[in-house]
Amino acid sequence: MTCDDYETWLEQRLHGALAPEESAALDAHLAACPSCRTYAGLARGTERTMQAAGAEMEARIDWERVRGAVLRGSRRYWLEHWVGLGWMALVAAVLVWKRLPWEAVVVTLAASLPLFALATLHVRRRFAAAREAQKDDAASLAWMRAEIEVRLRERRHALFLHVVLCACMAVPFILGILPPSGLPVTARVWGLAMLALVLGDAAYGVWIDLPRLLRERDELRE
Amino acid sequence: MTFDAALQRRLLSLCLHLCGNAADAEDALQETLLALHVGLPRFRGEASIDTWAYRVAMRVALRIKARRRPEEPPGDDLPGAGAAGIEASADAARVLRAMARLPAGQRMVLSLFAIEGMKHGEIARVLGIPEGTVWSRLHAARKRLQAELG
Repeated sequence: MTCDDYETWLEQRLHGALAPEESAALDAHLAACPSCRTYAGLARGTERTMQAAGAEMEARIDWERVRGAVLRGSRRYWLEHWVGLGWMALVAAVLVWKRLPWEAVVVTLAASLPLFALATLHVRRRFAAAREAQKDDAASLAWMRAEIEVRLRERRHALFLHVVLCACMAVPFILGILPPSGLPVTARVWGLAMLALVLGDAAYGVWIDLPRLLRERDELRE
Repeated sequence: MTFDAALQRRLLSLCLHLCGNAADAEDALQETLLALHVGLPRFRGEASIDTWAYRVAMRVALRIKARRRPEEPPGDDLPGAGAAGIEASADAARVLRAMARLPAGQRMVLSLFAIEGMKHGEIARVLGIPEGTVWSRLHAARKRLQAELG
């Protein structure tokens, strides 16, 4: 038996998982090995320090504030669902009420549908952790890394989609196929607003989300 | 709130050990409780509620720690600065900073073991790894922590 083996036994004894006969052998080894005694002291010391830090934080935290934040977050979550549905209903109402020409309908739908898809993806992702954590290996590093790779891929695809979408919206105007003056004001305002949102999301992806996902991947290194 | 106070306290402790500072730990706890609150109706009962809650907390805490840019200091709002005494505060700060430098897998095992009453079988279930791996990871984490703390 090496010191590493005895140190593992030490951990097992510290957490009540060592048989009595192994415990006696460990005591005999500890009496003769200063290095393992140092390890034992550190193991007990760090565990006590960590538990004390946790206990102090428990005493200091404002539980009412935490509960309030959770309730507010829960209300916001449902509100996002209803706002998404209301948004789509508004688009449909404008299309029906204004009886827009087919070009305007195409522009509006082209701008709205990917945005709605992105919004849905955002809401689904937000609480995916709660659902996905039910899987047996959900807390394993390999699983978490795979999940981050999926999110990275999705974000890169979303950026590609933004470029395509912006090109689809801009090219007809640039080539003069669909002069802005040929569209009703509602459709032009709508198209511009969607373009701003798509560009905003692309900027968020490039400067904030992608670097954060890469840091997350780095955080989960072995 | 549908989760008992003892579980919430253990989740807070876990978040603190994984994030390394009080502000991030509180954010992680809020996000975890929110995810549990919203996800509860869809909870299929394949794992126990506690196991599920620990898994969610670990993933949220690691994500929140990663959100902090490397150039941002983690802050000195570590527990221990109050009546517990300056020595205790310095110890806690030193240990939590050293832990923050451990690889995520080792930090997760060490954090779960630091939760009072958590047995190795339960930790293995939470992490989805064999019990032998739990002990070897704990030993590796402790050795590395020993080196970090000098």
